[in-house]
Amino acid sequence: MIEYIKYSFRNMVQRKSRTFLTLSGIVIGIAVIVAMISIGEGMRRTVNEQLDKVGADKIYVSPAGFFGGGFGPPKEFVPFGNAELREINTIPGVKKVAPMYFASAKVKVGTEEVTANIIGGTEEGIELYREFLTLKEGRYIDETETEAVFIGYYVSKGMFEKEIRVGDYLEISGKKFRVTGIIEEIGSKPDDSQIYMSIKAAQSLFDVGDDINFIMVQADSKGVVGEVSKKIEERLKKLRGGKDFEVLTTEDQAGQINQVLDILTFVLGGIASVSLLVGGVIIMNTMLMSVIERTREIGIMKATGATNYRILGVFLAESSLVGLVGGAVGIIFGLVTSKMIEEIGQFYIGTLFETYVSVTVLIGALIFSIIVGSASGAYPAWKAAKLDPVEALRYE
Amino acid sequence: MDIVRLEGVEKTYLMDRVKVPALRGINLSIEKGDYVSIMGPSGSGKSTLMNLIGALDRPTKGRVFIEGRDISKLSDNSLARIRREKIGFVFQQFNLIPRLTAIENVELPMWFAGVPKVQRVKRAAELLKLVGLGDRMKHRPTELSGGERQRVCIARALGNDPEIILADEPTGNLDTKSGEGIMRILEELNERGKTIVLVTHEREFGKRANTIIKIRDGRIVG
Amino acid sequence: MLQYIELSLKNLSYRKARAILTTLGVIIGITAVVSMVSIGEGMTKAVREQFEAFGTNKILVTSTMEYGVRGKGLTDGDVSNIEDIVGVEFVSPMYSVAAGGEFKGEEKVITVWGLDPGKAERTFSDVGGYRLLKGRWLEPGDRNVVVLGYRVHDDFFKSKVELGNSIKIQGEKFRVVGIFKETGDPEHDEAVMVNIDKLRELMGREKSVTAIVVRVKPGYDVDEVRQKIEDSLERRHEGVEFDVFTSQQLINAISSSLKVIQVVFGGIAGVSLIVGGIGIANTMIMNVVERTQEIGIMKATGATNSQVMRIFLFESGVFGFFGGMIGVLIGYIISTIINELAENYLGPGVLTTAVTPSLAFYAISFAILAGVISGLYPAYKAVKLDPVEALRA
Repeated sequence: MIEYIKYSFRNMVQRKSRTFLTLSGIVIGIAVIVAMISIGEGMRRTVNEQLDKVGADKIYVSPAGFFGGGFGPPKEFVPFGNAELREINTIPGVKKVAPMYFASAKVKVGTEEVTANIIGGTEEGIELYREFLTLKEGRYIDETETEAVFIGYYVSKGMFEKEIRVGDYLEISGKKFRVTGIIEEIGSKPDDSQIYMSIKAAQSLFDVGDDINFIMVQADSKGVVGEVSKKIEERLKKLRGGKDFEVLTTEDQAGQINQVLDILTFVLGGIASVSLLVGGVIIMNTMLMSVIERTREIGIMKATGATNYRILGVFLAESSLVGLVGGAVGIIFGLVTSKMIEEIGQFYIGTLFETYVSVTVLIGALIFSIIVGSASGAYPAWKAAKLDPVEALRYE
Repeated sequence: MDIVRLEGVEKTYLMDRVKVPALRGINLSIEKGDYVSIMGPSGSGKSTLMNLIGALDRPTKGRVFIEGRDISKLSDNSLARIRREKIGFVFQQFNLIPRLTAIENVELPMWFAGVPKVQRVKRAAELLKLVGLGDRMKHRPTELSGGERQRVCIARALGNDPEIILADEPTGNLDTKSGEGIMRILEELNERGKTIVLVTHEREFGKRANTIIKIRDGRIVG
Repeated sequence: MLQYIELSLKNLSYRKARAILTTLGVIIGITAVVSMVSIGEGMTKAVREQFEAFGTNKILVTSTMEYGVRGKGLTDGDVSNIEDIVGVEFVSPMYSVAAGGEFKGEEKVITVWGLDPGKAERTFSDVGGYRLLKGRWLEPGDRNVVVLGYRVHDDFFKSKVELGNSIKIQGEKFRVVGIFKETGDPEHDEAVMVNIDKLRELMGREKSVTAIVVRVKPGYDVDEVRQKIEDSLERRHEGVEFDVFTSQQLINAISSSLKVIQVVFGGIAGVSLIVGGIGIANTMIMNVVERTQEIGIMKATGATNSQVMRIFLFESGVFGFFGGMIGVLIGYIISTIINELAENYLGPGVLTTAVTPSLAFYAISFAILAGVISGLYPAYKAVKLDPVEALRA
């Protein structure tokens, strides 16, 4: 075994530029695969971490199609009202019900005007938020305050030319609000761009009566979440006369997101694998050439008693070694590329965007690379083993 | 006027950082239409001398004139032009391109000189007929005997109608009979006015030339 | 020129396995790029065709409705205002909502479009694909009747919904009087159409409008009319956002986001072409080594450096050319297969692919370029060979 490797290694060193190019093919292939998969894996980790922070005891109730619209003409949703709140509150196992009103509005500071997301919530909502948001400075608002907001990190720093501090005023849809607190950076621009106010303030600002378009429910425990969410669905269906809303648990949400990320990872990794395939073709080419070039050498080996089996081994070892070395270097380049993608992504999306390479992926990539190497070497090795010793010796 | 003149030519090779002199001061002139043989044992420097006369190489010191023009300082491309216009090479190893047919090998120097395809094929066919291979034009080198290969090589050397034919051990890889055939063709070309420079260590062939230059240890000894 | 090609072909056919493998690398790369880009191209084409069918003389007005904000959207008042604008031929208001649907006890969220029954046919019959499969359009006086998109009739519910059947929308019964042919756009095929007033009543949303389709009179400038509509809306609703689109703007907006997809996927696939180029470089270096003596012969018989360079660059370019040609061909086949599969499994128009002539042209040029670039270093190596030493090899 060691002999094979030594022998292969010497052959690789002797033909530097060829070895270099053959390796580059595999290196690039593996690097791209690792980098692509790292995007999907990183996203999955971030999402699951965030959902963990939010906690598995939460249930989200929203009008149908509230999240994501797709193309086509815009649709209205039938919002919830106090009737729905009362109904949910009577369900056993429900610990806390937090109605919210989401909207987007124009926010003005001086002469600058930006569209931002507004979240109106009650005391319960703020309590739930406190479980996974940390305050950087100032304080949260009180439910009864109608002219106060607390804001995401990006709203204070980055959204406007001027930094917004506690005590400053924002003009939202023509009305002035005082900033009472600023949230620690979460790391994703959309999440860091939110402005929180009391639900009463939001409802009157947008002139929507007692409309509610999002309800966050906390169950007594993780164990009863499934049961409670089913109950909510049944009761609201009866109340509203049809199922025009959605009930999701944190687990459901994670499941949905993970499914999308799985597809994304698979597609990106798949397209990237094409490069490795081409890398394999190069290995085969180089090995075929190597066999032709070393015809005499093979003849001599056979003449001095090497079995076909042994010669097969020599060439297979060589191509597998290319796979191994290429894979190892490829992984390093993949890690570097993945880091670069992370930097770019963080610049555009926020610090929450991260790429992640698990040990499983590393080992998988290496094994994959060795398999590609030896598979590509199989045909040339077979050709070498089948050479007729007499003719091989005569070859010049 | 001399067609080839060498003045104080020295050539030193660098081998593993050690300077190995191959030619140590050669003065030589060859007249147009002459038939010269360069003779000497292997390692005497005769191949180096041949490369210099053939504009394949530049001297370390001294000057090489071809038709009165100093080529010692010319660029790669100018040397290439001289090779294809003035000089025809005949090698001991034949040096034919194995993938090309006989006629395609003969066309090669004409192609590099930019001769149009039709003219090229016509002339290549004439040259092959001249060397007695009119019926072998579509054969590849591997399908030809040694003597036939060498005749293709001579035909190729004549492609651009050069003044000088440089033959480096042209009979070295041939049996006596084929070798004699090659010598006859070269001598016939000389009778038609070509300058022939023959490098050989075979005494019988060498002695047939009009001028004999003997070389040993990088110096002309007679 | 011809001689170079001839010689390249001869050289390539000499080492067949090597030539095939080298070309294969390029083929795989180009195939990947072409099939990836063709998805983007196909989508762009589909979008363009759809909007062109919608008509370039139409303007779509929508209220910006993130999170389904209501209350400050468009109203019937805006509709009559737009009707008065010079150059406007025809105005059709829409109210669409995600509502609870029910058929044979199965409950699903369904998109319901409310339309003026008298204007429904005129609004949608010139929109591509809106043709009846069975039954009739909405007619004036219709109240509790519904016209179904194809998928709602076909496989949206567990059992097929036929003419004469009733489906429940927010608990109230609607009789099916018409079914549309498939348009290929799931957004449309999974929607149903009812009387706008009936729907607004049902949802408790009097006078609310979510979109207005405007047709411009022949001879009037579409962009000018769009500007007038925008001005009029801004006067009526201060601080509320509206989107006023002409179909050209919609095409541009969607095309540019599809371009991004195209660039990303094409780019990842493009890496395999780089690897293919490395394969060419590898082969060419081996060729230079193997043909050292031949290079010596060429130089001895008078080839200049640039002629030697050209010989090798041509050879590597030929790899690119053949790889590109075959790659485009296979890419075209794969793209067609993707099309077929998508049509069978996802429905028509969901994922279309197209290998346009310009894509084919660029792919082949790109492959040749990759070949030539990969050949640069090996060719340079060949040029640098010393003729004397090369002959001795």
